[in-house]
Amino acid sequence: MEYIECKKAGLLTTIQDLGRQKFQQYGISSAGAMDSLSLRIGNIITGNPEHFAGIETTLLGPELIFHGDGIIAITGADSSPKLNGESIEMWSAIQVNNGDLLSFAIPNSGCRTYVSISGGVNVEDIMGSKSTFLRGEYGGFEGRAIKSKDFIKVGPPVIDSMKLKGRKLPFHHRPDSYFKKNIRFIWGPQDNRFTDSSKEDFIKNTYEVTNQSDRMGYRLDGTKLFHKDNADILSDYIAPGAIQVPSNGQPIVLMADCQMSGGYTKIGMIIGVDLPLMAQKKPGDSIQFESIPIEEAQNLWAKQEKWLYLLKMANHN
Amino acid sequence: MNNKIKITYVPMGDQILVLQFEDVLSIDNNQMVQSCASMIRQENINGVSSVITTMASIAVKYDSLIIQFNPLKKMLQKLLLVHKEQAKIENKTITVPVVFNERFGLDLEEVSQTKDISKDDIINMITAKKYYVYMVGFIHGVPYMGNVDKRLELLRKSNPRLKVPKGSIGIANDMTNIYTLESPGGWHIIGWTPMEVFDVKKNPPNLLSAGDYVRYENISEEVAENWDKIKQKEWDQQWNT
Repeated sequence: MEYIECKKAGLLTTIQDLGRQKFQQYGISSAGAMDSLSLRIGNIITGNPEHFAGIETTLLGPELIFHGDGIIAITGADSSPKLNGESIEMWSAIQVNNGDLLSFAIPNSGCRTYVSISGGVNVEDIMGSKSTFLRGEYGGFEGRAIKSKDFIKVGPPVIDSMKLKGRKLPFHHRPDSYFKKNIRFIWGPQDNRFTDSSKEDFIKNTYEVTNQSDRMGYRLDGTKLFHKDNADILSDYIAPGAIQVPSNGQPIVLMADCQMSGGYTKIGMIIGVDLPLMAQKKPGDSIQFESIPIEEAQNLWAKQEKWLYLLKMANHN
Repeated sequence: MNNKIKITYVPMGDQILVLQFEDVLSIDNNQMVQSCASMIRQENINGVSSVITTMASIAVKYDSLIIQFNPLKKMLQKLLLVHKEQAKIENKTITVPVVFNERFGLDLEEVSQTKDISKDDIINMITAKKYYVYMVGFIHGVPYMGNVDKRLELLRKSNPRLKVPKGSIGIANDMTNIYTLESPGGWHIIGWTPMEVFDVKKNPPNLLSAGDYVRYENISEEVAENWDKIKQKEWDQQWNT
């Protein structure tokens, strides 16, 4: 496949890979796929290295026309993808041909869907990544969201498309079935700055995702949290998954496009395996936080990575 | 620097370990942060992917498949037990050309009126000092530098600008910064530099690192407007070699 043409933009459609993790020490936002797990799986299905760039959609997906033949996979939130009007399966290798039209509906559950293409989206690397960083207006497609009449270049396939046919993720492994679970976190680094009753409130009550939520972060609304003294700290490292609480007592969960430094107390940090689930929350969804010990979180991470490794091996040709 | 450092080791989620230093913003404390960070970087610990410094803390990103929190904590504690001489940080002093006038220093007039200090005196106060880079942060390598002359201390603007031009020089509290890209901002803009201190196409993108020093040198509007690569080269030969 040579190009993907955008026919209709969708709500917010961007090119994302796994972000600029190595450049955070230079004060750079990482950016990258919000639900990195779904992107990684999409890449595995289409025979790409896990870090290849794909297309991230938000709630209302785009309409895309393929220029050339190739294999794609749709992962993440189930947005009822259709190829030329016919339903196609999520989490599966799909053959597309020159001129085919891909379209989506708004997902019932979840927020972000990923389109992976065998060969990956091929745009210029900025600081080692193809991710779009909207606030900095760099990366991805001219540093902005995809709009109609954009032609997105596709790279050469890594694996012959014949070998990719039939690849799919078994139903019980599809992460979208977990979208409604609790969001687990580890207390700290500044949980000691909150009153004991507020720490209890935080895990007993649910918090609603407000409309002020985007790739930078999710503002939540729920039982007000109280600081022992105040909400301010010396500007400290922040990263996607950090739950910071300013003086109004309402938590903000930082997401992929967040700044890398900030001066508010952090009550906790969402664990690695649950950050993709958080990325699938949308305004109006309610969140039940659950605290777990770090050892357990690291075991869950190891389990996930082992599973991904096995998936890669099973699909290795 | 003394050899005894009090550091608290805390998890930030399951893939980041944070070293919290004394909770004060001072050059001494921050230099301790920088030198400990460089000791950690030099150690090349298997599983550690990056070491990030802020005002008074270090974030160590690690792969928990390779090393877990407790062993990493013990390793870092042992490493930082004795503060080695060779860990002294290398820093540079960069002289940045700045035009200070109302056209580029959007808030210069207002600062002058609020503080009842003449614009010339503000420029003299700002250019008289060398500023320490405590941190590069925010979203695109913004250098946070201090400390600005106490007579110029101001809280951030109550109504932040939606767009501050790239290259703007801001002051707020006792800090100064350089806007590395056009972005919203609440600092008082007193000048502008034509010098590129941040370029997303370079690796690393920042000219300035935490631990460096910065001086502002007053230039005319005409010089600023005609700034180019040749002028920059001449400037660096004169000031930044």
